[in-house]
Amino acid sequence: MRGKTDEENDAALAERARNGDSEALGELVVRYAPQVSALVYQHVGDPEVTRDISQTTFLKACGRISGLHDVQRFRAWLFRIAINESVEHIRRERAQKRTALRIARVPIDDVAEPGERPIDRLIAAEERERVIGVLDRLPPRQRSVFVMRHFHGMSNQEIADILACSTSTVKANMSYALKWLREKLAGDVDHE
Amino acid sequence: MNDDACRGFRERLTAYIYGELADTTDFEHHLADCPACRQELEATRHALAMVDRAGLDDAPDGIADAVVSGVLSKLRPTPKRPATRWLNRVAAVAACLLVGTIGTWIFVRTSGSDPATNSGRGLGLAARAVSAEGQSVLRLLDELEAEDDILVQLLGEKETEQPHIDPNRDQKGEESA
Ligand SMILES: [Zn+2]
Repeated sequence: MRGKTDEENDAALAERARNGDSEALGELVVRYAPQVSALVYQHVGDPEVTRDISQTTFLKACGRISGLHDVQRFRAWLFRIAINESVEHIRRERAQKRTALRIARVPIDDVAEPGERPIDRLIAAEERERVIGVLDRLPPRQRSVFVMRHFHGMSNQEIADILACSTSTVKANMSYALKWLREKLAGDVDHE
Repeated sequence: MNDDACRGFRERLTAYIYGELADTTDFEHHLADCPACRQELEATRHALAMVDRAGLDDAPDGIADAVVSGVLSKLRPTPKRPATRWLNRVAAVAACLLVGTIGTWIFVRTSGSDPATNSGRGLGLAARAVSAEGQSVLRLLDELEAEDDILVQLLGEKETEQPHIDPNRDQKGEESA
């Protein structure tokens, strides 16, 4: 997790960037590219799409930074653009009835432990496909909340800031996401 | 089993799972007494463990770097260096050739009325004049090039102060924020 000093440095950089300092703007891009790419990837699951959406996110942020009122909330503001772009992409894909969305997946070789038996790898791959399928079918907003909470360790308040909604909405979305996962993945309890 | 207690349990389930419940006493009390809620907690933990095992993690290596270079290249303006430099060069060469030609022509015209005796000397002087002209062209080109470098640096620094972004791409996307 991030410390207070990081937040302060970010705010100082955002302040400079807001005043037209291109070096500060570049530094913010470098600093946030990994987090934004991860967030987008966990929504769309495709490397190429992730790169495009992340770039669009930063270009939009750079274009709008002069209008950012509270530099302390730079991160929430940036993530909001990234999530809106990702959610919009998911909706577009669904509207065009493309093949089921693929949420972030790691190649089998990256996951398999050394010395693992082939049958175990097969079971792991099947389980992963199943989990991915279940997450893919989660409504986009609930998926966003789940990704931010579970993978990025963000608080309800942070997520509420990013999504510009109340903390009770965040809690309700998270409960829904957990219920969904619990129900859709429940059949596997006996496997263990 | 107590409906109110079970509802309270469900409301705090997420906070409990993510270790954010300040006081867990009531929660765990109910857990010990209520098999249904215990089952719900176990099923949730099991599902989250599956999610973690699935390895949905950061973007693949190289994506963040590609994003950085893509964004920075779009933020930096393309210097107009080649165009200005060629224009400068063409203009300088044309000017020097013109001056050289006129100078040589005047020199030949004014260097004596006897072409037979003077032509050798005249051509030698004319050749020296043209060669001096050529060297001054080279010097001028070097100076222009140095000046061009400074100009490009200044332009580059000034132009990167404001990001160059297509305004048409900047309109939608945050309406749902
Ligand atoms: Zn209960």
